Amino acid sequence: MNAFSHKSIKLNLYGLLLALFVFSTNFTNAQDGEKLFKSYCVSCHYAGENVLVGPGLKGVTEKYEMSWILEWVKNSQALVKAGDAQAIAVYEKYNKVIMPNQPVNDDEIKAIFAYVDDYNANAAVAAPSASSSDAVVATSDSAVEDDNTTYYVFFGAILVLLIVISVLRKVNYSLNSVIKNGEIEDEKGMWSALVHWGASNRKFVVLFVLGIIVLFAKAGWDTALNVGVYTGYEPEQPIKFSHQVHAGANKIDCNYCHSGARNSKSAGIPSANLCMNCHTYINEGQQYGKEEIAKIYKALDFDPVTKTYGDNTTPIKWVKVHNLPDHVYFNHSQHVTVGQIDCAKCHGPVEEYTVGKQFAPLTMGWCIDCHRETKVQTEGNGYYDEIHKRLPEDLKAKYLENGVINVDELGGIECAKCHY
Amino acid sequence: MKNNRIINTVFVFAAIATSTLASCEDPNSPGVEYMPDMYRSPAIETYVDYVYTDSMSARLPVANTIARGYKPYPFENTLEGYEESGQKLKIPFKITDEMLAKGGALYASFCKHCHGPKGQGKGSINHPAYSAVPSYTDETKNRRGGRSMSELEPGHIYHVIMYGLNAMGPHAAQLNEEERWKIIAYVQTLQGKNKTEESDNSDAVVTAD
Repeated sequence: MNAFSHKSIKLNLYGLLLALFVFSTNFTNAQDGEKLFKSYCVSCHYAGENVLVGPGLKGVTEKYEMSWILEWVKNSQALVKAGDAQAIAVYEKYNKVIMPNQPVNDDEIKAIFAYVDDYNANAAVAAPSASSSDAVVATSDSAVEDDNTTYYVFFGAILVLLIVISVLRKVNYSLNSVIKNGEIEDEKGMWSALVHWGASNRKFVVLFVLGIIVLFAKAGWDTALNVGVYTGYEPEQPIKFSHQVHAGANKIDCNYCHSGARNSKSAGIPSANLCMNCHTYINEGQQYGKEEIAKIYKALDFDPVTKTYGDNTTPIKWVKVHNLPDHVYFNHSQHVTVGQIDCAKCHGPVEEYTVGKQFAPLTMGWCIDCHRETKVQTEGNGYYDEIHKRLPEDLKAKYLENGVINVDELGGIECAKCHY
Repeated sequence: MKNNRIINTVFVFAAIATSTLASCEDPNSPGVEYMPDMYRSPAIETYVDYVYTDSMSARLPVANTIARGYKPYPFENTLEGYEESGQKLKIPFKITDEMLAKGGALYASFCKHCHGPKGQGKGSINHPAYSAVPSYTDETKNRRGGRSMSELEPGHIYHVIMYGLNAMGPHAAQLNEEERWKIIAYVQTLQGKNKTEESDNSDAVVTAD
C-alpha cells in the first residue's frame, strides 16, 4: 500500500513535470497567439464553437489542412475565385460575408490556432465546474419562487381557518340555543346582548364608532385619490426583458432603443429589428438562457443557426405601462429635446428595474408641480434675449423680477396646452 | 335590527377597502379606474392593442409606400456599394463646434456603449461578442476593402451606419440622415481628422447620382 502510493506520487510528479514542459513550450506560442487572436480575429470569431459573424474556430485545425488555412486567412477571396470547393462551401455557409485579408504571416497564424486549440482544451476542463455554478444559481431561483408560494399558502390557510372558526361558532351557538330552548333561534340574541351592553357604556360606544368612521373615511379618501393612478403598475411582459441588464449593467443609453423620444410624441417601444442589432450575435442571456431571446427570433422568424429571416413573423404584444388618459396631450420630444429633462426624472431609476414599471403618478398635480418648479433654459437663446428686451416694463417687473423664468410663466399651466 | 344593518355596512365597506388595497398590490393590474372610457379612447393611441382584428395598433406601413421625407439610399450592401459610398458621399454641411457637440451627444447615446467614450473600442457592453470592437484609430489594414479603421472616409462610415458591418447591426432606423452625418463628423474628430482644413464640405451633395 505504502510502496504503491510512493510509486504513484513519483509517477504523478513525472507526469506533472512533463505536462509543465509541454505546457510551457506551448505557452509562449499560445500567449502570442492570444494577443494576435484578440487583435485580428475576435471581432468576428469565437475561439469556441459558437458562430459569431464567422464560424467558431474550435476544431478548425482538425477539419482543414494547415496549408489551406494559411491561404484562407491571408486571402480568402482568391481561394473562392479560384474555385476551391472547400473555400466556396465556407463562403456560402456563412452568408457570403467576405473575410478581409489579414496582415499576418504563417507563424502568426499557426500561433493563433495553437491558442485556439489550447483555449478549447482548457474550456473542456473548466466546463464541469461552470455547470455546477449554474446549478447553484438555478436552485436559488427556485427558492425565491417557493417563498412566494408559501406566502400565498399562509394567507390561504388563515382565510380557511377564519371561515372554519365562524362556521363552528355558529354551529355552537345554534346547538346551545337548541339545548336551552328546544328550538333553533337566529343570532338576534347575541346582538340584543351587545345592544344591552352598549346602552350602559354609551361614551365608549360613541368614541369607538367615531374612531372607526375616521379610519374608514381616511381609507376611503386615500382610495379615491388613487383611482386612475397607476404608480407601481408593473405588468408581466411577453418577453422577460430586463432594463437592469441593458441600461444598468451594459449602460446602453435610453435613447438607443427608445429612439422616438428625441423627435416625436411617443418614446416608442423598439421594434424587434432593433433588438437584432445585438441579438443577431448574442443568443443567450445571463438570467433566462436562450429561452427569452428565442422569443425575439420567433417573432421575426429568424433562424439563429443560419442567420436568415423567414416570412412567418408574429408581432410581440408588449403591454403598455404608461397610460395617460385620452384627454391629456403629452409630447416626449418637448420634454427630452427642448426641455432637456432627464428620463429618470419621470421614469425613475429604470436601470434598476427588471420589469418595466410606472414610477411617477402621472397625475395633473404632479405635472403642474414640475411646471411650477422647472426653470426654462433661456441662456444663449437669442429668441428669449430679444423677447425679454421687448417686454413692456410692467410685465418685465412681473416675470423677470427674480431673473428666473419657470415653465408656468410661459403658459406651462394653461389648460389648453395639454387639454384640447 | 338597526345595529345589525350598521355593522353589515361597516363590513361591506371594509371588504371593499381591502379589495381595492389588494388590487393595488397586484403588479399586473393598473388599479381602479373611474370612467374607463376617459382612459381607453375609441381613437387609437400608440401601442394600445385593440380595435384591429390582430389586436395591434402599431401598424406596418402600407406595402409599396415610403414615409414622407424618406430618401432612398442609392448604394447596395455589397463591397462595391461600400467602396462607392466611400468615394461619393461627403459630409453635407460645414462642420461647426455646435454640430460636433450635437454629434457627440448622439454618439454618447448610439455608439458609446460599444465603441467606447473616445472611440477606442472597449465600450460598456459586457459580452464576448462585443469585447473586441476595433479602435477608430487602429492602423491594422485588416478591415473591409483592405483598409484600416483610421483610413475610413465619412462615406464608409455612413454606409456602415446604414447596413451594419460584422457584429454591428444596421442603425438606419434609429437615426435620421442629419443625425448620422453629425455622428460621423464627431467620429472623424475622434480619429484626429476635421482639423478645420477638411471641414468645408458645404457644397457637397448629400446623396450621389
